[in-house]
Amino acid sequence: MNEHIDDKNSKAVLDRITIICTLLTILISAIILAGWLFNFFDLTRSNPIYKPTSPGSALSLIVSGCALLVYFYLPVNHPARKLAKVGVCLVLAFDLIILVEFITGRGFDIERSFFPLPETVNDIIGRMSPISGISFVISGFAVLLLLFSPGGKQRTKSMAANLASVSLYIGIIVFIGYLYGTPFFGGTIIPTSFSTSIIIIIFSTGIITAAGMEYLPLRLFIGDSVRAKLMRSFIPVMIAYIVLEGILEVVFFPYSNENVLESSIIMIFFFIFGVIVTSRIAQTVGGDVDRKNLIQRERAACALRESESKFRAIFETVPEGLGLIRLKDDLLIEANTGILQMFGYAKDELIGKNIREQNIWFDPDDKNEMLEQLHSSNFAHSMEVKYRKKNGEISIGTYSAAKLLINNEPHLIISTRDISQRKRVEEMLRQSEEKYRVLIENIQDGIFIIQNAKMKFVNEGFARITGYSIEEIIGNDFSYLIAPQDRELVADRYTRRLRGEKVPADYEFRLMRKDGTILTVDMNVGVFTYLGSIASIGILKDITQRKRVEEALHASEEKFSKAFYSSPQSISITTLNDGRIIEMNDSITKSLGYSREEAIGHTTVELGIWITPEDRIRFVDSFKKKGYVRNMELDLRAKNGNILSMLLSGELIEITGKACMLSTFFNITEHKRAEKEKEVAIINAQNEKNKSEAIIAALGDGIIIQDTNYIITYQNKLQTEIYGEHAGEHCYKVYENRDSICEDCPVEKTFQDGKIHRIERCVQKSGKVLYYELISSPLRDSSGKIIAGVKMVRNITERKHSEEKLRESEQFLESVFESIQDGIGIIDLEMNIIKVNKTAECWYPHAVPLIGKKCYEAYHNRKERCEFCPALETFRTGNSAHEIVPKHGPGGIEVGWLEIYSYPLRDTIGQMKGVIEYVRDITQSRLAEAKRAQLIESEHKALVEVEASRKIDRMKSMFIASTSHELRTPLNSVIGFSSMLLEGYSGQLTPEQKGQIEIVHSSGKHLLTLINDIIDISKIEAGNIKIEVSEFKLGPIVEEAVSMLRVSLYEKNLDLKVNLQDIVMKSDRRRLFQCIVNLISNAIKYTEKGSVEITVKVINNKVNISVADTGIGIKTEDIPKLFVPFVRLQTNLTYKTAGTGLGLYLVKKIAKDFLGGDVEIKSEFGKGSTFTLFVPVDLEGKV
Amino acid sequence: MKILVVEDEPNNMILMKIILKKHGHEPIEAFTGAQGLEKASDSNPDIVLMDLRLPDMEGFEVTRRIREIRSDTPIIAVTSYSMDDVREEITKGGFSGLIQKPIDPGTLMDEIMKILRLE
Repeated sequence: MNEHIDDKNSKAVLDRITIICTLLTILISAIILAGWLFNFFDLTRSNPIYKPTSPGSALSLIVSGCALLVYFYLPVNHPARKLAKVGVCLVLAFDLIILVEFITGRGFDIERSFFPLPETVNDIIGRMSPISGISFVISGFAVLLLLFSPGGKQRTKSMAANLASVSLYIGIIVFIGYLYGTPFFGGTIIPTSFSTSIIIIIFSTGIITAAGMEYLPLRLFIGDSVRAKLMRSFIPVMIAYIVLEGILEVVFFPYSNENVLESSIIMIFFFIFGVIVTSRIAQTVGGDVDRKNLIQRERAACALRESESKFRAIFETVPEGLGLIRLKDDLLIEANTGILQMFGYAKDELIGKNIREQNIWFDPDDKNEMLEQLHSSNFAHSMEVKYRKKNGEISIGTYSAAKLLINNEPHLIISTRDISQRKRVEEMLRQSEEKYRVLIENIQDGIFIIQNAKMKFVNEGFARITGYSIEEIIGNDFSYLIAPQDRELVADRYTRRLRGEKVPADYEFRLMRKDGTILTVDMNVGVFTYLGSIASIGILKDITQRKRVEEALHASEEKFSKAFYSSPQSISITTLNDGRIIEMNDSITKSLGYSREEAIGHTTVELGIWITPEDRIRFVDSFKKKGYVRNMELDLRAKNGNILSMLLSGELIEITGKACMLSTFFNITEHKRAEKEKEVAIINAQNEKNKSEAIIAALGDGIIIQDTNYIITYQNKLQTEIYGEHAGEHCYKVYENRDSICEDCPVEKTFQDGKIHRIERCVQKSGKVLYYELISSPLRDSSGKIIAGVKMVRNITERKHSEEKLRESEQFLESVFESIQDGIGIIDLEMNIIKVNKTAECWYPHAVPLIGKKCYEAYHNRKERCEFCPALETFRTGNSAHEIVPKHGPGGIEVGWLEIYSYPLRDTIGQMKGVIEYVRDITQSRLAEAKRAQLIESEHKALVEVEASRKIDRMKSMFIASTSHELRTPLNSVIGFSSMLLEGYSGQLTPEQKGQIEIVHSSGKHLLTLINDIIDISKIEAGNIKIEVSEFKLGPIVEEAVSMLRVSLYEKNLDLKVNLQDIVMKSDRRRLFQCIVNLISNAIKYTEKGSVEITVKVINNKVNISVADTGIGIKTEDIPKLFVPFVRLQTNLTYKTAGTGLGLYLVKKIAKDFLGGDVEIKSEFGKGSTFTLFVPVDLEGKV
Repeated sequence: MKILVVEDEPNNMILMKIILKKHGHEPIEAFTGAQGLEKASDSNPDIVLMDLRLPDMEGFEVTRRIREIRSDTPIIAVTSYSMDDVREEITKGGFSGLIQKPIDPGTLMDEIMKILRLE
């Protein structure tokens, strides 16, 4: 705001300056011009020394000045502005031409044409200085700019001001120059005159200020800031100093030319410097101070704002209504929301308005009163005033007001609150208080308040009851009001109650009136807080009358009650709706068995008196319908559970407002029972009669009733149907066609001993044999005398047949039973043996007879049941069971095993009567089993062994296979090469060499044989040899064998004889060959001289191949050793011959295993031996 | 005669070569079945002596193959197996004769002679 004002002020100042300058310019210029025009030359200059202002300058200035004025005063659209613009342009043109003429030195001298000079005046004097000219042009442009500037744009204005300032500087420089003695450019150039310089300065200033605040340098001077102030003070001082100095110089040192120029320049320099410095100082210092000021101001402003907002907040939010009224015109300046709400106005409706006009006061006196108070005390406090709300509602508020001065004007600050609500409440309270007061005052009973043991308050009623006046009572204690005998009680209760103990709040006591009479009162008292402390409040009721009534009632009740209780009649009083027993007299307690304490208070239903709830409902219903019940028969349950038949009568009565039944009971139980018994007897008799009739009718048998004279008195339907009606006739006549009683008559027997007798009769009827059963029983009268016999005739033919069949089947079963190989026994539930068959008996001959004994005794020789017994299981579960149990012999030793199956034996209704045991002696089979198991085991073991040995054999053959080839290979070389050598392939051998190589050869051959034999044996042992059966002729084999050994024969010079019986054989050719070769080879080996004879014979499908030699023979005892492997008999030939000791062993083995035959030896030591090989012709046929 | 000897055992080879040489034949040696086949086709022997146990192939196999290329060249089997055992196979296998190890020179030559005579 300050700035704003400042600006305004500044603007005003500037405007003032502008006007002054402009007017001055115009004025001075006009004077000068006038001077020139009217030849008053003194007017044209300020100083006779100095050159005068040229008319041209004056003209320029006037026009420019006027133009500036026009710009300043007149609005933009004014036509004069156009004129001004034109004028300035013209002047500018004028000045420019002058300048151009000056510069070029040519022209038509426009100035002179305008302003011709008198001859007396120096041309130069009357001429515009070019400097001035420049200045005018510049300032002219500035004015033009201002004129042309649309709406005063800042830039244009600034530009104009800038231009004007240039002109200003020019003016100043010239002026200073004059001050210091030498005008610039004196001599060659026409100088600007002193006066012109002054005018230029003035005019330029005017233009600058016209530019206004927009020209920034101007701003430095404007304003209240310290800076501006400093500027405003410094600069003039500076200028004044310069001017003064200049003046002093001019005055005291006029025309001291020597240093004038220098000193002027220096002075100018100083001036400029000084200006700059001071302005800088002003700016910085001033600026600082200004800033500080600004900050302070801002802070202050801020603080102010803050506090303002605080107060505003308080103002607004306070629940009370606050308002500020300017007293002089009753204007509500401020009002907070509280007030607005209270009065119901909106903010703008109230604030700023004259409250008087608002018609707020309901009663103008209120206002006056308030004002009076205010006047007297400057303060009005809590007045209650009625006021009118905006909506016309009248309300009550409290007002407080205080006077205060704001801006030296009296204001009123008011605080108000709407108390209409409060007032309402107060009113209500008052009204209710009034009510209570009225109540209390008018109530008949006495109401009192006691505090600190003194009567604080009593009502009229109290006074009336006690006989004292209210004034007499209040303030005193209460004990004198109570009858002496009750004083202690009441006082005690009073104190205890105040302590907070539980004492009866409602009780009776005797009160003593003023006149000494005693009243009985009922008091209901309680504690409460009265006026801040504890007090008792109570209500007193005179119950004297009531008491009297009560007593009378009590007396009558007694009477009645006695009558009630001792009445012999059973009476009860129960509530109608739920049957709750209110009273019972002694009689009924006796019959029902409940004591009064047990019954009273409970409902009849609860106690179980009603047999069924329907009974009660029926009873109550009829009660409700008719209002009474008369002699209703009902069964009730007594306490002990007995059912009593009662005759109930009831009347409706009212007791204490409740509908109740007064019921009387008449116990008719006995009576009923008698009745019932009679009824029952009658019914029974009837039933019996019906029964017998029915039985008789239903029987499938015939019934004949005959009297003691055997006369038929009755026959039933069946009998009659079959045999016809025979009543009145003798039975023996009708049925047996006899004239006298039958011999075996059962009726006779019955008549004799009164027992039932039975006989069977056989009758022949039309070829069929029929059987009858007669059963007679006595018919007695009520005294027990037999009056007749009842004979039942039953056709039992069927039965007889069935019996027969049954007997047959029984016998059959019996035989089956007996014949079964396994044992069967039947035991009863007690484990007694009922039946056993023969087989079972045989098992336990030592325990015969078995029947009747306990099964565990008889069978197992035990004293108690066997745990393993399946019969027990069957007894337990009712299902069959199966066990293997030990079989015990005499003495209880285990002799074997039995397998027992037990089955439950049930009777016709499925109940188990016993157990039938089916027993099998499994001793043998068990043993067999055991053996078999053993066998299997050993078999298994054997298999394992076999497997193992097979494994070994397999390994053996593998070994054999791998080694045989390996063994043979080097031997081939040995034999081969030795042969070769012997045959002279490598040259002739010496006999010595030959002999030695022969040894090598034969050793080799021996070794080969040995290897072959061993391999053969191993193969055979390993079972690795297959029997290859083929058909072949025996002859060629023998031939081949012989030819193979012919060399040896030849060498040994033995004869050979072959007796062949050729035959086709089916056998293992190779093996046979092997054997034959072996035998022959042996024969040759062990014969030194003589012959070997081979004979083949076929005997009994067996081929006998004998090889007889004339060799060394064998001792008899040595024969067995022959076939043992690796054993050679010690003979003198042993050393000579090569033998392995395997040959015969092999032959035997082969003969036995492969050929299905054998080898035999016959020998004579020293003479020779015969080996015979027996081989079946057909190996396969043998099997 | 050119006689191809197929035998893996060096000693046996030496033996047979000496015998053959002694009798004026020209032995061609082959130590494996493959060699045997090669030599059989290259050298075109008159007789082949075939060891039945060879490292790379069975003698039977080699024989069969030789038979494919030389159907009429007599092949004599030389084996440690006893005659009875292998007699059947020998005849089936296309062998012209059989000699048992250990080799008896006389027997060998007899067999060869037999074959040659048959030719």
